[in-house]
Amino acid sequence: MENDEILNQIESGKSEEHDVEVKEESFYRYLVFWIGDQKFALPAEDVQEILTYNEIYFVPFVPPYIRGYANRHGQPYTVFDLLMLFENNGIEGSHLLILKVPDDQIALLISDVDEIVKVPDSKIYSLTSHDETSQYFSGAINVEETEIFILGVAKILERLELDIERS
Amino acid sequence: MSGHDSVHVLYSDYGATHFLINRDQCPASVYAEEVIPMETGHRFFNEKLIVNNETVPLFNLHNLLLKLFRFKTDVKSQLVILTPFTLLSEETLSYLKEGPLPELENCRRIGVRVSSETIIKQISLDELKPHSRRLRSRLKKSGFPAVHPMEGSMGYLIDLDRIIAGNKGKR
Repeated sequence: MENDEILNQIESGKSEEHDVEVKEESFYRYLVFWIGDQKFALPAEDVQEILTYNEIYFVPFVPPYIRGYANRHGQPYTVFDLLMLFENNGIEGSHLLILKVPDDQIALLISDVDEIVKVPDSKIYSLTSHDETSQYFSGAINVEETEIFILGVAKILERLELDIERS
Repeated sequence: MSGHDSVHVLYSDYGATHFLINRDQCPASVYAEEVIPMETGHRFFNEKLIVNNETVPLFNLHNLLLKLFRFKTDVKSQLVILTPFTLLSEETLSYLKEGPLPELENCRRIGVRVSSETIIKQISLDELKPHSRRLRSRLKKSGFPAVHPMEGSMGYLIDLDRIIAGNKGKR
């Protein structure tokens, strides 16, 4: 190979490098928490507050996955037990996630908080399975090679509306 | 109501849960002595009381609350609120006539058995809160139109008219 050719290739290679657009990946923050022995995630911006202990008061006429009301600053918050919804098996939890739901006061009973993670776009994906439980997940994130389902709060609230309407 | 920002209520304490009834729905009360059993087929309308020669059918609210809220308590329900039919809706009166109390024409009041540990209280209307939006319609329909969240206890406002007609109580 002639030196000229070598130089041409090197220079063309360099120019190619310059032509490649450097895409900056977006990152999203998720709160990861435990419900029973499984991890779930929610966009951190959808969580208003984490309460470490709050008494839950029984409410009649509601589906079994509604554990009752929590009293937060004198307002009743409907507390969901998602393990009861997913597996018909209630959890022993003492932490509450107070959610930012614009038209209602909603809390999730959880076992514990795990961590807040920053997840790149490339690690957030849709679910391919469509079984009964997966309808309550809006997708999944991959954190350290572990798949964690993202809760679809809108779908969970729709289920409650439907069950209340039927009762 | 006794004013624009406060209301007198009957307040029944069941530990971590309490119940409030607007006092305007309960103009009089008596002690439940010599209660007479009635055959009605309704688990909460199965007694009557004679008050000054007047027959008063009894609605056992105390037992209904024990069942709905799964309370285990030794608290008795010897107190009876006397509510005139004029304070009940046409819908509730029709339900009673067609259901557990066909001889309602001979009566003018209904007695509601509540916990013996019931007191009168004045509360600020600010203390009453609407139910969480998605539960509101169901609870209102069954006679619990609002809540009264307190430190260590959740209270439920009871609408006597709705709770009588909204809980069928078939055996």
